[in-house]
Amino acid sequence: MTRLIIEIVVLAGLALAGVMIALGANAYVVQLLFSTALAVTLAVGWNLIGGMAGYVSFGQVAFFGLGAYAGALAMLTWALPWPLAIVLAASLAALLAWPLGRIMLRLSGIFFALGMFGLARVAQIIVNALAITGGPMGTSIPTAEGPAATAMAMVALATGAVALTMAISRARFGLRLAALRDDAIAAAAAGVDTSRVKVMAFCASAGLAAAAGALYARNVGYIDPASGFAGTIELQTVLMVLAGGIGTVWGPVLGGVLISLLSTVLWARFPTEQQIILGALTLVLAIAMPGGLASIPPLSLWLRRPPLGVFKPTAFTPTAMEKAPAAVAVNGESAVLACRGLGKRFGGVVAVAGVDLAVAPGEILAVIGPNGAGKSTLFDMLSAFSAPSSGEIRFRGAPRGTMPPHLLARAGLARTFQTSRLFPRLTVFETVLLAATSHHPRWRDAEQATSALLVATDLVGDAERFPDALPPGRQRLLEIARALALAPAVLLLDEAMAGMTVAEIARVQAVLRAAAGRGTAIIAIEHVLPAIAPLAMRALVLDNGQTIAEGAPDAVLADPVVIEAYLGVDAMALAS
Amino acid sequence: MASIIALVILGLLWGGVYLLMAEGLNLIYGVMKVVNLAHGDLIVFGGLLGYSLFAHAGFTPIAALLPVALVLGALGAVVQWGILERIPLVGADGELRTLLATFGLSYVVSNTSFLLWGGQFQSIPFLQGALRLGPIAIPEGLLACSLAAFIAALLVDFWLHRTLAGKALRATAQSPLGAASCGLEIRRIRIIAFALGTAMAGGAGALVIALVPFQISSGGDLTVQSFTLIALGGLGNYLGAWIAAEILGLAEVLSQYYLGPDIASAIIYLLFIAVLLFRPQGLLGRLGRV
Amino acid sequence: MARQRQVRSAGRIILAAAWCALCAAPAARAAEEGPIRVGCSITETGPYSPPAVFELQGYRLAAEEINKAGGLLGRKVEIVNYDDQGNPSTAVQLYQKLIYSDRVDLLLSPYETDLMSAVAPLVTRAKKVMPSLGANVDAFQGQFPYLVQAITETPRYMGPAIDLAASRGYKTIALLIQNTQFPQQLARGIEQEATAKGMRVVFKESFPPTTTDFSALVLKAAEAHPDVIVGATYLADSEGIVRAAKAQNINAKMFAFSIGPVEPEFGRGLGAAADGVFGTTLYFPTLHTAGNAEFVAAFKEKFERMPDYHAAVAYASLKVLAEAVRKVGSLDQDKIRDALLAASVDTVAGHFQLSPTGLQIGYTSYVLQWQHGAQALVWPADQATAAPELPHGAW
Repeated sequence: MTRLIIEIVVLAGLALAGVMIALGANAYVVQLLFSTALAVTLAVGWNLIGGMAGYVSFGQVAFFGLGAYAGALAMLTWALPWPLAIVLAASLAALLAWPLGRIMLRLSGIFFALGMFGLARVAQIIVNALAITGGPMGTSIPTAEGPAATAMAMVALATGAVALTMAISRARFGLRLAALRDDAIAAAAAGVDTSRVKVMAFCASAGLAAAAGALYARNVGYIDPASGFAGTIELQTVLMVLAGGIGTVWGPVLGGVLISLLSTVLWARFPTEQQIILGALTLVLAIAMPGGLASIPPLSLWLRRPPLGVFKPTAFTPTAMEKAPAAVAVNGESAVLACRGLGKRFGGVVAVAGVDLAVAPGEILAVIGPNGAGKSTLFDMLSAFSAPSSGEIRFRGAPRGTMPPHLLARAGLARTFQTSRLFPRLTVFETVLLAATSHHPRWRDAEQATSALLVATDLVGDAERFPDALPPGRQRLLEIARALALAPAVLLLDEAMAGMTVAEIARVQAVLRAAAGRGTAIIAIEHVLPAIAPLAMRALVLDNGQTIAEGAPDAVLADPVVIEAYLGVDAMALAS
Repeated sequence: MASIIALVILGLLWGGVYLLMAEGLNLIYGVMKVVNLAHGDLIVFGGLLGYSLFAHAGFTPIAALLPVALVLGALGAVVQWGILERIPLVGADGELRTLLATFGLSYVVSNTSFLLWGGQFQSIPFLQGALRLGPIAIPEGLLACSLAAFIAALLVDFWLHRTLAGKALRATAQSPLGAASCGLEIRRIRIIAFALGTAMAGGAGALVIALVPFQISSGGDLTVQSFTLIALGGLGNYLGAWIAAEILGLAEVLSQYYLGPDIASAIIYLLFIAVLLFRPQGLLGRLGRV
Repeated sequence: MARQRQVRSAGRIILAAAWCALCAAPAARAAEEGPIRVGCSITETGPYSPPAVFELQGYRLAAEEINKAGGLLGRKVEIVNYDDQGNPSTAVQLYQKLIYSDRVDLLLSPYETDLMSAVAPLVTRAKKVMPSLGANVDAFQGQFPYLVQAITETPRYMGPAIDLAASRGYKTIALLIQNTQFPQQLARGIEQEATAKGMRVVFKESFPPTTTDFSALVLKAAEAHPDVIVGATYLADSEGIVRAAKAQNINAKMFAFSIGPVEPEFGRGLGAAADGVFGTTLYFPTLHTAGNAEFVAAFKEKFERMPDYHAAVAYASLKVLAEAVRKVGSLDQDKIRDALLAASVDTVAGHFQLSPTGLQIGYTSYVLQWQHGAQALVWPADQATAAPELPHGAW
C-alpha cells in the first residue's frame, strides 16, 4: 500500500514539474519537455506489448503514424477541437488494433517483430498513395496555440500512460500478462485467455502510440509519410525501454527521460558519433544488463513488480478446499471425462492409436507405460493443447468439440506438465492466485482459495518466493496447487510426483485424496507405479499408443503383457 | 509475348540477387538460430568496401570479392567471439537479448559506414551490358549475381555435407548439447559459422553494389528482405530459400509490371505476412510461430 | 561495492544530463547591441547532411563577405546554427530555440523541403521572415506569409530540359516519378511544360522511394516508344533507371533526370553509361551570373572545393536578405518581408524575383549533360559550355 502511495506521489510530482516547466520555461525548453514526454509515452506504450506481454514489435510506429494522420484529418476536415481529435485518433487505432492483433499475435518472437515492421511499411505505402492524406506532400495543420499547450497535453498523456501501467501491474490483467509473457501454455492451462490478454495489451499500446502521434502532428503542425512512419522513432523507443528496464512499470519512464536527455547531450558533444554510441550502448545493455537500469540495485528493489495478493490465514481442513463443481454424474453419464478411439499421428508416426478411457467423479486412475508410450500426447489431447487425429472426447456429459484450452481449464479440466511449467516472474502465491482468479470472479475469494491451497500443499512459507528458488519437488507441488486452484472436475497429473521427497509425496497424496474425496476425478500419469499405486483405484497401461492392459493396479502389474512392455521380449525369454 | 518471357527471366535473375544477399543470414540462422539484424548493414559495409577498392585500387567487384569477404569474415568472428558468445542462448530472454544485441550492432555498423564513406549513394560501373538472345536482352550484371548465388549455395551445401567441419556445423545446428558431447568444440564452430555468414554478406554486398546503389540507410531494408526470404523458405532451409527467392523475384517483377510499383514494393511484406499466417512452417520447412 | 559505484555513476549521468539540458537554454541576450544574429538549423550529420553542409558553407561565406564590407546596419553578422540531423521534429525544436530562447534577429532556412515545411507554421506564428530553400509550391500560396522562396520553384525545375527536347523535335515523353513530395510536384510541372511545348506524355508511373529494381518499370515505359525518358528522381533511382535501360538494351533519343546526374557520384557509379545522360542543376560554376566568378574563387579558397547549387542558393539567399535589411534600415520583419517581395536582384544563382505570395519567379534552372566522364553545361544556349550531344546513341 505504501509502495502505491509513493508511486502516485512520484508520478504526480513528475507531472506537476512538467506542467510548471510548460508554463514557466522558454519555448526551447518547453519543446524539449514535449519530446521527452513524447519519448516516455512511446516507451511506456511500447513496453505494454513488447515488455509486459513479451511481444517485441518493430512496427508500433505504424500506430504512431496512423494516429498522427487520423488526428490531423480530424482536425482539418471535421474541424474537431484538437483534444477531441487526439482521443478519436487513439480510439481508432485501438479499434483497428483489435482485428490486427488477432491476426498478427498468432506470430511470435522475431516473426511478430518483423511482421509488424512489414505492416508499418505497408501502412506507409498506403498513406503515401492516398489523396486524403496529401500523399507524399504531407499535410500541414495550422496550429493556433503555442508549444506550451501541446507540451502539457503530452505530459498529461505520459502521466496517463504511466498510471495505466501502474494500474495494470496491480490488477488481474497484469498478473495474466506476466503469466503470458513467462509461459503462454502454462497460462492457458491456468485458465488465462492468452490471445485476448495479448490483444488487449496490443490495443492499449496502439492507442497510446496513436495519441502520441496525433499530439506530435499538432505540435509540429506538419506530417508527411516519411516523418510519421520514421524507423528512427521505433529504434529510439526500443532503446529507451531497454535502457530503462523492459517489462517494468518505471523502467520505460526512466529510459525515456534519460535517453532523450542523453541524446541531447551526446549530440551536442559528439554529433557524428552519437548514433554509434547509442548502438554500442544497446549492445552493452544486451550483454551486460538485459534488465536495464531497473535491474541495478537498489533500483531493482524499488522498481520490481509489486507482488500481488494477500495471504488470508486459514487452517488446512479438507473442507477448506472448495467443492469440485462436478461431484455428481452429469447428463446421466457416470464418467466426467471420457474418450473413445482417440488417436494422434505426427506425419507417419502414430503416437496414440485408438485409446478408450473414462473416469468417474472422485475416481483416481493411473496411466502408466514406458517412455514413448503416448501418455503425454494423450494428455495434450484431453486438455485440448493438441487436436486429435481421430476419436471423440466427452467432458461433463457433452462432446468437448474444439474448445480452447483456457476455456476447458475454466470449465474444470486442470493439468500439470511433464516438465514443470512455472512462471519465473510470478511468486508462489501469484502463481496459484492466477489460476484461482480464473475460477473466482471476486479477487478476495481468489485470495482466500489461494491461501487455503498453500496451506494444504505446505507452501505457505514459500509464498513470496519465486519458483526458481524452490527445490524440484516443491515446484511440482506448486504446479499441483495451481491446477487445484481451478477447482477442477478433472485433474490431469503428468508425472507429478517425480523428484519429490517422501514427505512431499505424502503431502501430495493427502491433497489428492482430499480432492478426490470431494469429487474431482484424477488421471495420473506415472512412469512407475509405486508413487501412485496407493491412491489409484484403477490403472491403464499404454504401450506404443495402445491400451495393453486395464484394471485394478495389482492385477495390471502382474499382467505378462505389461511386464514384456516394460522389460522387453528378451528379458521375458531370459526369465523363462 | 516477348515481354512476358523477358519479365520471367528478369524475375528469376532478381530472385538470384535476393538469394545472394540472404544466404549469409540463412547460414547463421541455420546453425545458431540467431537472426542477425545487422545483416543488411554488413552487406552495405561490404559493398562500400568494394566500392573503395574499386575507386582507389581499381579492383573490379569480382576481384574485390575475396578481400571483402575476408575482412567481413574477420569482423564476424570478432562479433561472435566478443558479443554473441557472451549471451546465453537459452530461453525467450536469450532470443530477445541476441536480437537487441544485433540490433545495436546494426547501428554501430551503419554509422561506422557513415563515418567512413559519408551518406551519399555509391555504386560501381561493372557488367552493365546485356546478353542478347534474339529479341530478349539478359542483363549481364543480374546474371553474374545469380550465378554467384548459385555457386555460393553449391559451395555451402558441399561444405556442410561433405567436409568434416561442415558436418560438425550441422551437428551443432541440430543439437548443440549432442555435438558438445561428441567432443566438438561448439564455440569455435559457431565462430566459424558466424564469420562465414558475415563473409557471405560482405561478398554479396561487393557484387550487388554494381546493380543497386548503396547508402548507409539501405541496410535495414536489406535485413528485412533477407529475413523475409529465408522465413518464406523455412528458416535454415537452403532449397526453400532458393525457391522463395525465385518466387519473390518473379512476384516483384511481375507485380511491378502489371500492378504498379507501389504494390511491387509492398509485395514482399504482404507475402511474408500471408505465408506466416497460412503456412507458418514456411514454403518448405520449419515452424515459425507459437 | 561495484554495484554501488554503478548506481552512483548512473546518478551522476542523470544529474549531468539534467544540468546540460538546463544549460542549453542560455538567458535571452540583450538585443540591439552586439552582432546581428542570424539563426538556422542545418543537417550537419546523418545521411542527409552532404548537401546541407554545402548550404551552411554558402551561408558562412555570405556572412563573412557582409562583415568584410562593413557589416549590416553597422553591426557584424553572426550565424547561429544547430544540427537537426535531418529530423523534422528536431528542426521544429531548434527553431523554437532560435526564436524564443536565442532570440535571433533573422532566420535562414534549413535543408530540405520537409524540414522547411515542418518549421513553416512555427516561423509564421513567430512572424519571422525566412528566405526558404524549399522548392515546393504550396508553402508559398499565402498560407505562410513570412516565407519567401529562395530557390527555383519545383514545377519549373525541368523546364529547360523539356525545352531542349522540344527544340530537337522530340514529341513523346515517358515520365517516371519517385512517389515523394518534390518529384511529384515536379512531375506536374513537367507535364504542363511538355503540353505547352507541343509534346505528349505517353507513359507515366510513380514508384515508391524504396524501389531498387527498375527493370519491369523501364521495360513497360519502353513499350510506349517514347522519344524521351524523363525521371523526376533522386540519385539512386536515376542510376537504377539508367542501369535497367542499359542492361535491357532499351533505347530512347534522350534520357533526362531531375536530381542524380548533377551529383558526381552519378558518373562514378555508372561509368561510361553516364555519358549522354542529361540532368538539371540550379547553378553551375561557369554561369555568367552576377558575381559568380568571385563567388567560386572565394568558396574554393575558403572550403577547398567547388561550390554546388546548394551553396550558391544559400549564399544568394543571405545576400538578398541582407540587401532587404539594408533597404529597410531596421530589423522590422514585416518591412523586410515587403522589401523582399519587391526585390529584383541579380545574384550568383540568377535573378531573384518573387510573386506577391512569395513564390520564386526569377530563378531558373540549367541543363547539364555527362560528356566523356564529366559534366558539361549544355542548355540554355547562352550559358552553355558545350553543345548538347543528341540523340542518345544505342547502349
